Amino acid sequence: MNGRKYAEKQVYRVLINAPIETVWSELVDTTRPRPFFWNGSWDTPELAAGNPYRVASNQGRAVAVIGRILEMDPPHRLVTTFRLTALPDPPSRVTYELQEKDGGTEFSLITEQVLAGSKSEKSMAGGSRFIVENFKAYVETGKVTLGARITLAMYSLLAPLTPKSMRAENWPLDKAE
Amino acid sequence: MLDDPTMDAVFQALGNKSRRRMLDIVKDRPGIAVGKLAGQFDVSRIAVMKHLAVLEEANLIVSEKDGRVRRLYFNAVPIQMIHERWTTEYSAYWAGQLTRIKYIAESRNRDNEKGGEQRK
Repeated sequence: MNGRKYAEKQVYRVLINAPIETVWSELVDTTRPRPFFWNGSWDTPELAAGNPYRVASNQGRAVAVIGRILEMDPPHRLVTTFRLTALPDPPSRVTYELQEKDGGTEFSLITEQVLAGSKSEKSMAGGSRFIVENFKAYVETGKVTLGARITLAMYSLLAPLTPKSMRAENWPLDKAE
Repeated sequence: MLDDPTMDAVFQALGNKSRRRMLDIVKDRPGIAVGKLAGQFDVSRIAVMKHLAVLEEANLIVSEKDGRVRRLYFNAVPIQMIHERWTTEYSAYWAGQLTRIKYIAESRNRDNEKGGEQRK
């Protein structure tokens, strides 16, 4: 167990009916927006350990997440630091894990070092459920869930209201911690 | 998105008072050791292990080895997926709520522009 400062880690897990290589390549596809990341795209020189990354949306005008790749072990494990740009909290750690199981792939999203009682803690709990559920739906069917599609449509309507704190110019890659 | 056998496993796991209590405890104390959890129940450790196996089978609990102890974590995803299955028909309602948020945000935005920095 850790001290009081951080919440205990949380695990979000689902079985995806697809081969591990397919699941991995969808996770780390840097060429297209990822619907399960609220249509954000990986923005990084390369998804490799040590590199910074951003999750950019709205044609690169908004950045929701900034961080650094800590481990990259295809097709099993991707470990990142993870900071929500809209909130003042320090970076936490997000791990994506893939395991072959029962003819499919067991996908886990693990959050650690999240400041206990922070807005990030709440936001990441809801967000992680969204990502895991919709990642499964997207890999298996090519679409995220209906609820998610409605949410995404609304988000794109709200894009002009993106808070200043999330604008891309405020988050150059060298701000990654 | 959950297939029927998987959903059967989730509902079967939830259809038992002791298992629901186990979920409550693990949710409140992520990373609790199996021994600690078993200590909160009057039944034998074997009975607790059987319940845990059912919960793990349904993917409601995820366990991890940490040295000599096995730690338990609540996995909210299956319940999220059940929620999604039966709530999308009400999505129009949520779409309505979100539209309202948009209007509120827009009017606040206008207020902020008028009121300068003192409003935050």
